[in-house]
Amino acid sequence: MRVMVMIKVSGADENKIAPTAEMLAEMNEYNERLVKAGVMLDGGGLRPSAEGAQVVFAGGQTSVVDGPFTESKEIIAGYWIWQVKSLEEAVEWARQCPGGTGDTREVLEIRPYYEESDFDNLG
Amino acid sequence: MDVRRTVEAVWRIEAPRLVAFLARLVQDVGLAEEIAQEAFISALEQWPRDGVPDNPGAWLTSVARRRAVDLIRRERLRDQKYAEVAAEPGGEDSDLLSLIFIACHPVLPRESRAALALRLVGGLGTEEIARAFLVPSATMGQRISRAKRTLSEAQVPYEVPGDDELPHRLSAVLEVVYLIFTEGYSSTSGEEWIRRDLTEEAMRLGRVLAGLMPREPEVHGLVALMALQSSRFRARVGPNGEPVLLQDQDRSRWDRTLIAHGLAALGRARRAGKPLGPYTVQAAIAACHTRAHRFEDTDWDAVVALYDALGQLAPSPVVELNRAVALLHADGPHAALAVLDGIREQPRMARYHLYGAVRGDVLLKLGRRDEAAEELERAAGLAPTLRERTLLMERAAAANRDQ
Repeated sequence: MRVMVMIKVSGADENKIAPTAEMLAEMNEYNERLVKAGVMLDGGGLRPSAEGAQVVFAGGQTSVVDGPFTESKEIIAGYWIWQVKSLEEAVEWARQCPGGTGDTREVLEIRPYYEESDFDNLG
Repeated sequence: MDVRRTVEAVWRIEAPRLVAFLARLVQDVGLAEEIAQEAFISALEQWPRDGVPDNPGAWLTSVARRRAVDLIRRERLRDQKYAEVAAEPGGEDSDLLSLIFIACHPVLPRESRAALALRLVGGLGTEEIARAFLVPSATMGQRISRAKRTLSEAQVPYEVPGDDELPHRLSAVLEVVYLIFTEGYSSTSGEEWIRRDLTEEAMRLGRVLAGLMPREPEVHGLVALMALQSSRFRARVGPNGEPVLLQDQDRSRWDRTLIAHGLAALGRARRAGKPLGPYTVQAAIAACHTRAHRFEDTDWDAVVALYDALGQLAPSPVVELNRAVALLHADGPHAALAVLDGIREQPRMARYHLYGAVRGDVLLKLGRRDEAAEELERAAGLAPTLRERTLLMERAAAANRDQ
């Protein structure tokens, strides 16, 4: 199965997570493990939401909101696409990800893709 | 979450490197796997009570290493001093690479190599492998234990092959990976989803190998080939299960993640600065199709040139048949027919329905309808499935009718 793993941080903490050299080294090592295990299909880090924008569809109106997304509880800081055998395998990989500094709350959200077989029974 | 399923997931993540490390210690793959399994049984007993350790790999390695060293001491398997020195922390890349080479060792029959690679390097259970290869579980179990016994009896050294041996040993490994892939890729119908998993397993093995041997362009070439081929999975079967030809596929349904992954791997193979091998060339051909937004946009001259190269590297009538198809689009039916007639006498082509299907098409384009109909009828008689037979008969009938 293919999963997307979203790295989420609390909106308020977004600016606190400027990575240190040590964190980057740990993350590189972890990424290398994922690559060497054949799990990693793709991945990337995202710049702070201050440099992004949202297009919002609501009440029949379309509006554009510039970052930072102060109203969002959680902000996506990066993602991976993994090929794994089961959700449990993805959870186990995610558990082994080097964690945050303790001051911030980070969440790795794992979401399986729809597979072709999910559509087998649909006309 | 169920601890048992967690342990299974940890097995899949940790077992290959753990077994590889243990095999170096005890110099026997079968024994190494048994020790690893015992460590996992301990995990199954202890983790539900004590919780899953933060670093499950280190936990398992230390339990298994203790057992291995005890065993060596007790059975005097090896010099004890050696055992203590060798029992340094595992997880080395060279151990895993040795495990891959031993699972695909030429001393084993081909079908056992695939099974052993899935079992030892892929971390799959016997039951799963059996289902994927459509054989009874007991048969697969016997096949795997026989393979382990063969390795043990032949005293195959547990090591990465040296430079002189490496090229042909590596191509044996790549062949196993591609065999697993095609086994899964050739399946189409709904109840064969389990076999589809084989393509994912093969791609995973390929990526593991690419991580271990980043300087070998053919490893990246194979990874690219598998990714680009499987990117078309969704598009190559119609709503009623009928095969959809490349020219008729809805290209928007091709898998963009696998395409990006495949093209990146192809780039790595090409940048290695070595002559291109057959997997890389086939991946480059697949990439030509991938890059064309519509079938009409295909760069057929490039495809023909790549088939020329492939014909030099790995000559086969099937390659010539594909080259003929490319020539049909690049230079027209006369050029294609010349190539097709050149391989007509090959026994493999005489039995191959796609040969007749292609030649029939080419003859039709040349206005030689009687011959085309005859060729298509003959191809229909050779078709392996009813659906293909029916399609070819319809085309033959159309060739006759439209005179």
